[in-house]
Amino acid sequence: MKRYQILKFNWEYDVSRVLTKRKQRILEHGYAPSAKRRESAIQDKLALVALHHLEIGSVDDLPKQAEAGVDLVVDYFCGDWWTEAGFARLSDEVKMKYDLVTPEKLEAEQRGERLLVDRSEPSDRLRWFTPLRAGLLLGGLTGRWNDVARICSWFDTSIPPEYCAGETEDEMFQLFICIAGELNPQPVPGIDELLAKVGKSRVKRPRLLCAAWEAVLAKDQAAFEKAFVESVKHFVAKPSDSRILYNIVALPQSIIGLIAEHRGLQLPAMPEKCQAAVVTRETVGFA
Amino acid sequence: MRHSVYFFALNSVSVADQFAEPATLLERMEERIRKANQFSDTEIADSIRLARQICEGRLPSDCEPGYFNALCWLLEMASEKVDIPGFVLFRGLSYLDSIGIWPWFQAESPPFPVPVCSAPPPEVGFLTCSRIASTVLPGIEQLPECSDQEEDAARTHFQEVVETILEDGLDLLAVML
Repeated sequence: MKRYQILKFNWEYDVSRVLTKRKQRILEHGYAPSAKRRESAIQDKLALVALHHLEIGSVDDLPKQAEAGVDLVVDYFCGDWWTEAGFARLSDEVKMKYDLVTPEKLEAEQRGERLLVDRSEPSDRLRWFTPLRAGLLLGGLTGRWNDVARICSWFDTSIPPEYCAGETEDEMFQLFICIAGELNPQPVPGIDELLAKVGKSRVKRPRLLCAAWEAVLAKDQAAFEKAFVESVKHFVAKPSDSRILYNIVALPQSIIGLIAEHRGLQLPAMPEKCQAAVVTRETVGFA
Repeated sequence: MRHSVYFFALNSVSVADQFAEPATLLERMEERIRKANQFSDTEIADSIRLARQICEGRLPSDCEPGYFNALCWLLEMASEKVDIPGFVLFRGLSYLDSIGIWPWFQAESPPFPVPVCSAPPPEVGFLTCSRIASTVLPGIEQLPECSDQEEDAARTHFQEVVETILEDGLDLLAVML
């Protein structure tokens, strides 16, 4: 059985068309002067990994796609594309494409993008959760840990949870702030307190993930095995949100697993369904 | 119209004590609202006035939504606000009906004053710790299946939260707006 069948996911589309469409979208909008379009392209990168891992379709150029995905995320967070200088560099062709032909439109667009990416004014409008998760997953799969560190240097505890109309618990956002804080080359004050808060969450998902992450921090193989398996079991026991392709896989657990392996821990043996949910370098053919 | 349910894990006796001597609580509430940086001085003064009325139990028989907002601010100070995914800005009351938990909140009242609206929502619901143990947790397993994944996930999150609230020996208050 293929992994998506083990996870009881029902795939109904022509995968070659889906792959073509997503790759085209990445090429077209990956470096657009728009956080939303860039985020969408980054999501497409995650979808390609998920399609390949789940064995829905084979993404022949996945290594290249993943490498380019890390570049996209690095530029998303570390580039100056949303600044005045970045907008001033746009070619006439790009301006035409995104309807930025008048100075007024250009300025308004830049102001809007700034709100979404400029970390100097932290607000819940900042769009960082999916780009960060993509950066961690793709960076971990490709082994580009220096670029992961660059991405994580964007983060500290002043970054609030994204506004998501209650769809995701705040503690999930905060856990990823803690993960980014740990991978940030500079010490991030307040991370320990934030992680303690996540660990006390009344919702199980962040609490279990936090236990796995704390075991990684402690480099405690036995604790990691126990907490990681428990977290993945919790993930596969719940119906996954099939509206978003990469949510079929255990994305946070996969990220924590990649960091754990990078730090010398080993992924534990797990039941077949749990294994099918976790993306590793082996499952996507990178190891 | 979209609605939200805001949950607060609390020790009811402690909250009742704080409501009985509200000066410090109201001060902290004002500080908190100012920190949110979204409200004018007039709006803040109105919220504090309504909150004081709640604490003192001087409530009209049919309370406007402002009282329920003020109660949320008060409880954010006096108890533990618990965000449960799936209960914020949901698509309609039929969604909450399908999740099936709200009737449990309507059987009991907290031991401190809360606003009441003649045509809910808004509405305040309350669950004691003992009722969570005797009725809610056994009852969740018996509820009919939800009609979609979103409702199912919200119900599961709710179940996880009430399990920990029971472990901590707390009650649960909900404000539907």
